Amino acid sequence: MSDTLYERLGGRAAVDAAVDIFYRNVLSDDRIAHFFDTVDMDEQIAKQKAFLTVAFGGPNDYDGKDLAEAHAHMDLTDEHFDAVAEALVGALEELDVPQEQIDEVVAVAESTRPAVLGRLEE
Amino acid sequence: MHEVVFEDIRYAAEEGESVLETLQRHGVEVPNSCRSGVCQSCMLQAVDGDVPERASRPLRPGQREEGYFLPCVCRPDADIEVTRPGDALSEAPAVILSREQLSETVVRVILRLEASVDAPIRAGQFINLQREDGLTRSYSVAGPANPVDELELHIRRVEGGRMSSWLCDNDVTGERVRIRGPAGECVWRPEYRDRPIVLMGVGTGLAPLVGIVRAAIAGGQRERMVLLHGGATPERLYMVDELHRLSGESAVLDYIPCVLDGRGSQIREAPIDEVFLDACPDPSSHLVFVCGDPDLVATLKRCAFLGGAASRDIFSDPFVTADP
Repeated sequence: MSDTLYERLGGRAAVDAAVDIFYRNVLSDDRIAHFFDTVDMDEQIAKQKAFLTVAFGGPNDYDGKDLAEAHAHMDLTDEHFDAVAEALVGALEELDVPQEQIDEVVAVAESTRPAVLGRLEE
Repeated sequence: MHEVVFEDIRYAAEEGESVLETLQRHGVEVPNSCRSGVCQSCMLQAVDGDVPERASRPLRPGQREEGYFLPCVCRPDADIEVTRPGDALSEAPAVILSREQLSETVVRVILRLEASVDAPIRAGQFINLQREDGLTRSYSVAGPANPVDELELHIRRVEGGRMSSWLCDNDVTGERVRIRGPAGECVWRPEYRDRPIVLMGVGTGLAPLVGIVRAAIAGGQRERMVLLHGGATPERLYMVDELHRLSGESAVLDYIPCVLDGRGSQIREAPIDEVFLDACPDPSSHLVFVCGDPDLVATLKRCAFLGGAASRDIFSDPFVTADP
């Protein structure tokens, strides 16, 4: 039986390695930095680890409704979502993750786009 | 089968159940989100009993030591007593030994503990100081290097501040108080000996940093430490001569006081974040300690992080001001 994507990426260690690079990318991108700017950094890092765990296909209990609720009232657009995805891809590239696995992560992240942007069917 | 004790009530747990599941099943509200040990929304503190390693592994060392854990992934096989974070501090009586004016607005107070609190207090952490009438304020421990039965606190006299004016304006020597704590992650550890360290503070944010520096020097720090103390004007700084002397005597400590308006003094005139970038052009392997005004702490943390310091190597103690 093949390992899950999360296991192939390296599990928690991969999340720990990626989170700083990912979060620096986010803070350096004017399209999205302001969403993350005002919050306590330690709290943000924990949230970004949660996000990366989801994107890496790791264990979590979030469903579409949770994601929609968490991102409601932020007026998020496809551009915002794309910017975060770019930050994620950039971090994985910097860590020399094979392109195949990067594509898998992008696919998992993509699957959350409707929920995050509040486009779930009622 | 074990029990989870929370706020003096014993809750029977089912086998294999997480502490979060046990509490929620009995109607106790605990914030939670991912239920997988990642988001940390559910964090509680264990005051008695063993926490399986899995439930505290994602947390920072300081948090683990204080008993913090994640109940959503905590499946104990024996009784455990838990509280909401921060409720688990222990108390001890203390007496004020001395009071010394360090600047026009800052006073050094030395206390003697008359009993020990449960967890050893470490220089750089903070305690709650409670007056006989119940008035309580938090102060950082500036020393000594190993504060076993004495604590040094730095008090800034705040306009209209009840605690600070009591301590600064009166001869409080001999007054009895109570200490609750400790808390805070800004401490030196022996494993930091060969890591470069940068410490940045404004106002009495200097207090925990001095504590860390003292502990580091006493503990045999080998790598360079840079201590930056910032203020609006020279009047807002203190211990300048004492710290110049300490850094002169120490092979590892560099001390840089800085002000926004030098008013003709010799003190370097520059904002503290600029001084930081100049003193530490590559902080990627540094441990970073930031203390003082919350907005400035947030700015400096971000500055260090974007400059390359690892998030897990950045420790902070933002001084949130109580209503006077």
